[in-house]
Amino acid sequence: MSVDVNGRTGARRAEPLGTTHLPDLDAGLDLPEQPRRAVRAVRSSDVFALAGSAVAAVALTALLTTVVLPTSGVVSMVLIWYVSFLGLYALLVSQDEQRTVVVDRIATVVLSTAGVILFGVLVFVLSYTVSRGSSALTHANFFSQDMKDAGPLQGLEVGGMIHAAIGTLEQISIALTLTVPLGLVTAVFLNEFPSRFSKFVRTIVEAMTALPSIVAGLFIYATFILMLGRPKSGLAAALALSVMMLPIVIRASDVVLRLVPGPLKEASYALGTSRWKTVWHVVLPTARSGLTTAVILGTARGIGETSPVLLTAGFSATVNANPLEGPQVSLPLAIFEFVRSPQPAMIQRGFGTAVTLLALVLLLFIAARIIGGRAPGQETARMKRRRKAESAKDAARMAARLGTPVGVLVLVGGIVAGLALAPSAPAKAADAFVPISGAGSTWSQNALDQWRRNVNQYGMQVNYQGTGSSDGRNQFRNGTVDFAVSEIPYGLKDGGVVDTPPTRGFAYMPIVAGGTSFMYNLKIGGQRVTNLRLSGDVIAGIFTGNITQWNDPKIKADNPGLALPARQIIPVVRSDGSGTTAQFATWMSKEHAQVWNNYCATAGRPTPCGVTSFFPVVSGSKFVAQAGSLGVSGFVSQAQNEGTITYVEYSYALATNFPVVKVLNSAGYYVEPTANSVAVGLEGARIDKNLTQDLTGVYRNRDPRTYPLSSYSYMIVPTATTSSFTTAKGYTLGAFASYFLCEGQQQAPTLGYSPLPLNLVQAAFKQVARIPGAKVAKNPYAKCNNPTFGPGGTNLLAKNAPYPAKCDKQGPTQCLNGTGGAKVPTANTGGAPDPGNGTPSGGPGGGSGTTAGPGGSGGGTATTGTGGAPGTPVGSGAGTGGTGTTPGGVGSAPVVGAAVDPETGLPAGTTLASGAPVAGQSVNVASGAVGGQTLLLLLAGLVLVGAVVVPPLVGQYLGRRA
Amino acid sequence: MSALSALSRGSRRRARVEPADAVFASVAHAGGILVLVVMTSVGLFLGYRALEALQIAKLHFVTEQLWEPDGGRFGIAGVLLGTISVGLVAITFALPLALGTSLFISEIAPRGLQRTLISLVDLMAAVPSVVYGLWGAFFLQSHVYGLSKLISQYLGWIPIFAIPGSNPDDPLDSATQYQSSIFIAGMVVALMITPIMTSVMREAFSQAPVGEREAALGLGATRWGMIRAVVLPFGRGGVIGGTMLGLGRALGETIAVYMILSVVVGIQPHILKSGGSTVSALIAQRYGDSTRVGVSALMAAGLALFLVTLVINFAAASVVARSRSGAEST
Repeated sequence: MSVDVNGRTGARRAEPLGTTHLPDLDAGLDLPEQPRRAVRAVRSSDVFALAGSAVAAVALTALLTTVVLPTSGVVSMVLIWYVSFLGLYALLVSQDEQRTVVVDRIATVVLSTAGVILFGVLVFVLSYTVSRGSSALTHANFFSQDMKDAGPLQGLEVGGMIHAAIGTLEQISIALTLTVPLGLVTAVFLNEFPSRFSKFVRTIVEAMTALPSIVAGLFIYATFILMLGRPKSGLAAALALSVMMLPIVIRASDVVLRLVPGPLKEASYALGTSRWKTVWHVVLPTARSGLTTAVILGTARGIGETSPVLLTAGFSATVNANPLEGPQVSLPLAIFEFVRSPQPAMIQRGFGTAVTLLALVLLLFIAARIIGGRAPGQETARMKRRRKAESAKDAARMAARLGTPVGVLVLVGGIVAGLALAPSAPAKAADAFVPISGAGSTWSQNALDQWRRNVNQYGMQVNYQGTGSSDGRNQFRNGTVDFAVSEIPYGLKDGGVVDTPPTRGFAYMPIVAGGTSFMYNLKIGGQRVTNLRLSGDVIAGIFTGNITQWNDPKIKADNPGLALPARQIIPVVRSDGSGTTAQFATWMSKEHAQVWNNYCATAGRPTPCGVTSFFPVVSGSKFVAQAGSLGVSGFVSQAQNEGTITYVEYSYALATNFPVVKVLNSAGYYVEPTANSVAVGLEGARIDKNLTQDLTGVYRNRDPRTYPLSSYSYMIVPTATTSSFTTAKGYTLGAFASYFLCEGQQQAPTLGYSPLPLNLVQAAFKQVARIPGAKVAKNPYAKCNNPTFGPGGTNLLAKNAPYPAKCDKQGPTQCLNGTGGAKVPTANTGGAPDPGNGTPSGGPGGGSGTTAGPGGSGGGTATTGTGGAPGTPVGSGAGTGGTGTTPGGVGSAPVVGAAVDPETGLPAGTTLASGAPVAGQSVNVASGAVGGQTLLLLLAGLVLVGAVVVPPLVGQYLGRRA
Repeated sequence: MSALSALSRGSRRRARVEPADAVFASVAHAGGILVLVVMTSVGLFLGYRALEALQIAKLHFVTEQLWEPDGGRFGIAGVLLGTISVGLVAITFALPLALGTSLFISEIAPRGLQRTLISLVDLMAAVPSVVYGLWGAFFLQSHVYGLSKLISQYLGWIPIFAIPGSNPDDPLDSATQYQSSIFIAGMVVALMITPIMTSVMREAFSQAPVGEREAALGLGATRWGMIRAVVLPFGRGGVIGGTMLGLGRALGETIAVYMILSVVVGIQPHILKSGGSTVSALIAQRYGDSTRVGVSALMAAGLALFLVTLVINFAAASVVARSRSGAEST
């Protein structure tokens, strides 16, 4: 209806405008805009000077970087080039210009450089994102699927980001619905009703534009989620975005409205028009293009915001078209979550999602450019024509009185619903199940993620957000999730405060067992070490900053077969509240209380430190803190992060193809946290009445097959309904639990966990029965095929666990076979006797010496160390391939007698006892003398510099003489 | 025929002018009041919850560098200094870049190119920060090592560039020491704030009066001479204001910093060294696993950050506004 009237208003407005004095003023102002004469021209000598000095600078850089300042860094080379370029250019220009002109030229170059750098970086950032994301973008499924079927190791042919795209669209739509009307009304208020009050409002609004977006998120988190007890949802995210966008929209609209020419309004008032009509027919149409631009740019800003959404939206891997309930991920948040995974496919998905987001922002941006960029009220001829046609059409349609807005809404709603329903159409048989969501432990997340993907086929939608056990327990207490997963129970004292249990009814239910492993990134001579073994004391020493070097004698004592490098140990710990940290801290406080308490004291914690979910880090130490299991394992697995070690569940090492430490148990064996050794270790666990665990017996289990840091992970389930936990949810949770307690356990070993034994499965099913609405089958464990279920309740997995190999016993020998996700054997570099059954031909050195220092006199010919290390180079025992007879032995693994510099851990020479090549990079420690090639380069450079600089100098000299 | 119907409708409406105007006025006022209520309630709620934490921490809130809210020991000394460090690093990179680019666009670039360049700068401002974060975490993180090392090698005698316990000449020196640092986070944040700084500065420069420019050129000044004599003095307010605006943005940036920085709470005086913390990264990291006191403490930290950005923004706005009115042109 407004369009109809608008068209007429526009026409009417054009006439009075022509009769006022305004256009004359404009015409007068336009005069200086006439094309100005160019005051400078480009001469050929300028171009030559520029090009010449650029080329000469290349030569000079080559010279400097090879001879004077040896460096291979691209950044420093470019810097040197630039400085020399400026110098040479100044020199050349100064030959035929005055000082002021030289300064002008240099300034021009410098300013242009700034522009080139900025736009270069923009282009680079965009093209980098596109190139990294292109592999994901070429898969059509990336745009049509969500992540419900894609596991962490799944390739790009499955899974996509449609769930995030839907989330973003819905959240931004809600935010716009809230902010645009309110924002516009407020902007009109600020402009049309000037008073002391409106001035105050304007000041407050301007103040709020300074509100950091994360604080806006924190506000909604504290009010909407914590105080009102609503679960994280798309609505909460939209509210957070609204709080952030509202001041931006108001302020931008305010500025635009202020630009509406006063005479226009005055003319309207002069005609006797009311205030409302003036605003509606004059002010708003005049400022329309500016207002639209303001809104679009605000939208672009809101769409790209991550931090408010991070706190409020929750994370779901499946399409959730309902913004009112359940977690709903958005594009920026999905990017953030994708790239936390160290898996290449996930990172590609992250970049692919980033490209999608960029495309969306670009689209909005272009739209804003097309609409904006015109003065208020200015219209193209085409727009005028189109508007006339449209108003005619509108008038006809209005006459028919078909409620258009409703039609549009239906259309939009239909599209959204269609999008939402399309992927979930096959699951319509599962109407009995409702989506449930949980949060917590990343320790057991790999298992949970697998299980919830598996139950998708039954139509169950389970969302799980790995945010750390502390966060999971908090969210469960606040009622924002339906279940939590944690390694430790409520009620423990952490940092002097008791983690209070929730007031609602709840129960602990064991879900899976596993080993807290120590994943590391260490290389000797360019080859990955995969057989590191450590005793508890050493681990405690490393994670309390007492043992700082890999070649520490204590580590050497554990690893006679390794010539460990003099590299720093970088412990990587969890920065978030974590159950893994709590498990590790429990072990530390029980087994190494003194060291642990001393460390806590230096980190400023009250002692005795005891169990804590937050690893204490001394500020300024070498410790690196990362969030989540993915964070720490991802950090360790980066190639350049050599020397790092972290504590993380075994499955993360498997997933990243990295080795884990074999930990010394009470029986004197170094053991890897396989499903078997965890099962054996947990035979020593004492399970309390509420099913929580006391692990002291595990730490000290005398069985030689024990992995001492084994533990269970728990799900915390509600035993009473609340406003947000219904029996329908209980039914789904019960079905999900029944699945993973039974069939799900079969997959535990392949995932890097250990299945639950029968007694715990039985106890867990009793807890499932307590969930309101849950249905448990009569004999739920009959067909589970759980590998631990043996006759008469024995734990078959533990019973049949293989005994560790002899070489894994504490002593002078060391197994060479790999661990965790890195099964490649490691060369014996430390001079330890051959661990296999072959005759030790390594000589007398290794046999008795438990601490294998540089003692192994090997068959290797004498080599010289390049590092100038004081120690004599170690020739290793040139063993023949060990013929492993023990299970899990070395088999036919080649024993490479690599000579390794004990100081650096790098290959000392190329002569190898066995003749097998060792891939290693040589380190140029002492910069060598200038070689022939360098001399040539030097000469060439000098000639080039001369060729550029000398002619003008000579020319000038001659000119002066003439 | 449509004109006729519209006219009749219009006349009908004119009869109800007074009520429509009254409704309009009340709606507008209601909008203003609603916005005021929402905005102040955000501030008041933050303040109220922050008070809870402040009562526990008392004055130590300003001096304590640890963050153990449940143990009663928490303060913003570490995180706020970290935030400011990131902001200063960002400004160090962004200021020359923005100054150069804005002068390049307004003075040097060919006229035909200007509009495109301005659009590009605006586009750069619209790129989501998570994209910059991706670039920083995946590209810059692994490529800036050489630069960090070079700086610490040659400027290590300046305390902030030192990396204690690290020997750059040691070939086995761990690269992790140079990663996830305030320096890298600041570089990425610099990219995010440069566009806004550039556009504020460019606008200020472009308002330098043509007459004075031509007078300078007519007196024989070179282009640079003209820039120094006319454009820079005139745009000084824009430069200062734009920089402060950029600083305000830099302090509040969350996600890119969180993606790069290894969050270790405490005063980190060595900007090249791994580990550090900012208020926003602390909130992003701790909001979930905090107890009630912890959330209050985070609110107090957020409020402190808000106050800092508020002061900076208002100062920036007043500087820019004063320069617009021409006060600096004389």
